[in-house]
Amino acid sequence: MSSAAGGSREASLAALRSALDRTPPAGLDVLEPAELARLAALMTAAKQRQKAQVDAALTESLSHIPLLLRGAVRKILDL
Amino acid sequence: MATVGTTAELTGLSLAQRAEIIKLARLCRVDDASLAWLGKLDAPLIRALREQATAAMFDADRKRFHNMATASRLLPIPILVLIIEKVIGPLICARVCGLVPAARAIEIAEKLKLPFLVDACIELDPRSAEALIAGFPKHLIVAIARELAKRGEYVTMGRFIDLIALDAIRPVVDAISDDAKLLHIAFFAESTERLGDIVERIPPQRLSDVVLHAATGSSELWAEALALISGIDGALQQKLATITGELPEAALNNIVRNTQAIGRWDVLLPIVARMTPALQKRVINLPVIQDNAILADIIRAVFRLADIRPVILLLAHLDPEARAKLDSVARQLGLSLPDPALLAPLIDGR
Repeated sequence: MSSAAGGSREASLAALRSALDRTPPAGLDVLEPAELARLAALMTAAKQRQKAQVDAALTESLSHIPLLLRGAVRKILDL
Repeated sequence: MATVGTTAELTGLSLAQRAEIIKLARLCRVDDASLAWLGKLDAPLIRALREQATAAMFDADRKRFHNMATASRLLPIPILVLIIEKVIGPLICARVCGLVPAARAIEIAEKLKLPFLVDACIELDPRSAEALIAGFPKHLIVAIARELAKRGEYVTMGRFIDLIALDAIRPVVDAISDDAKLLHIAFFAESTERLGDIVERIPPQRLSDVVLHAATGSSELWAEALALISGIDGALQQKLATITGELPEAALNNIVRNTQAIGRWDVLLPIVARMTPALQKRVINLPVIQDNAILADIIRAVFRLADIRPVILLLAHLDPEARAKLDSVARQLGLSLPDPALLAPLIDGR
């Protein structure tokens, strides 16, 4: 493996670790660097999509709450 | 609607890999075909990735919902139900309910409208759903299961069936009259132990109907049946192997064609080896098997097995003509099949 590929492999593993919030399971070394990058991108996108979906649902719920209370509720829900 | 057969790109993979890839795709909201490249990883590794991804996705929001769960305790249930259905919605409800004491969450669930409850079940964090679903009353479990099956939510059901109380399995099975749907659900069950629990509780006639349905259906459905039969242990596997061996010849012919189509002789042969000697003889001497391409794939599969001994013993039941043909195909592949007579003494109980 070239050092460039090794570097990108390290970067992908770091991205995957960040997306999963923990060290990924052992055994991913069978993946090519490009596949590891693809896996990291998949997990990152899934987590972002999930957060966006929850945020949208919370924002929609907020629209039913009286205007005066929304600020406090937003704070509680970290929106 | 995910089933084993939705994606041609996954056909070269093991049945367990396919189930895991479909589940991961579902979690990541992507098409299963787009993850076929993950077939390089074995099923337990794909599952470990899915479990880590699930934890990362659900734990990220845990703190946000904790206050909501605490606040919900202050409201009377009828008002809470109204707020949940009109304001909160199923996604947020699913996230919060795992943080509410199970007894109260169940009390609330009983008052929610069924379609809403099912929407929320689909979004549940599988880890927090455990105590909740295990405590659901039977009538509610059956109603949810029926609705999930109607919607084709087999991945959710595979998870759901893993969590319900043992005495709810039979009513759920009875509530799902479509044999193919039962196979789809079993394909996505999380634990092989639970697969055994399910098979044990299916009445004998229904079990025969399910096997016949799979045997006479598509190759995709047969792949799910193979995953089920190969996934259970001991006496139950023998029971299903026997039911399969006793099927009418037309159904067995269809099994042979479908097994060839999905390239899974490595799964079927050990199942045939669990049949009684009379049924083994019947199956391996089927005229439809005596085809060069099929025999070649069978021989290749034999050499891929971790333990070839039980399968090699099947050869002892081959008619002389069929055995000669098999040996001839093996020679063309540059292979030589061992003599079953030499292996028999090495196998316990034979």
